[in-house]
Amino acid sequence: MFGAIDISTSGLVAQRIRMNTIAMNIANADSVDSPDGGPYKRRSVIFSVGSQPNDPAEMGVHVSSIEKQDVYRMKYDPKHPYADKDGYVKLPGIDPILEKVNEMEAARAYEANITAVEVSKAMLNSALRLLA
Amino acid sequence: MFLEGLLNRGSMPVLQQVMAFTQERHEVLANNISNFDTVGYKMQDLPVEEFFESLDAAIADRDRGGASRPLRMRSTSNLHWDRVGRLHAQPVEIENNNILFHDGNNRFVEKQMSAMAKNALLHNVSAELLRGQYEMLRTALRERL
Repeated sequence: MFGAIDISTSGLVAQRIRMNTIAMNIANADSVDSPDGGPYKRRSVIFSVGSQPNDPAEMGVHVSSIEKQDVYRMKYDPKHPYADKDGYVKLPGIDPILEKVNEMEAARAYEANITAVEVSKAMLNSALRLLA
Repeated sequence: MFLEGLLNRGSMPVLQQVMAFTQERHEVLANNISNFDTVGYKMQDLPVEEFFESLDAAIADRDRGGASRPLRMRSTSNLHWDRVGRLHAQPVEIENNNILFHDGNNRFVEKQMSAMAKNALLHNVSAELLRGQYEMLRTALRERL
């Protein structure tokens, strides 16, 4: 029974990491420069089964990696210090609508896991009430 | 033993089995929910029909042998009861759960959530009934109301 709460917690953690990543993508939608050189690269989380890597029971979920994607968009702005010789600035390829949809999905999945924890708590309560 | 005879008759062992099964199943259902967005994950479940068939058979078997016989669950392909009667369950992947999404996941959010709610309800009702049985025993042992 306590295992169920751990499983749901792993789901909560994974969805929160996804939410952080989405927030980072939106915050950096116009960052033309980054420590890696070039514009900010869009981050995307990869989920994998098991509450941690090499989990033998394979219960729960974890973020196995955060991938950087080489997607960009070109914006015409000849006066910009980062403009190329044709007058285009290379910006991160971030679609605000896509990020928003992902964000809503993460929030709903987080809520579903919260619901599962609440149900686990109710079940544990009723089982423990047998003692008293 | 006298006490064992008191605790292992009537609906008590049946309710205990139902509670053990629903607790085990709840973990599987919680696992499904945590993997709603995992690429390639297939929803799993414990075989509910199989469990209740096994339970029915065990009750019928016990009733044939007189009231003092213990409840013996017979193991099936996915549910295994060891010698002390503890349940070890093997989850099965649900085929044809829903359309397969592009990420290879066959989640059916509403179905999973309602399955979890129903399972929890069954667990809590069993726990409540078991509590009633214990209360009755307690009252009988105290010899006063």
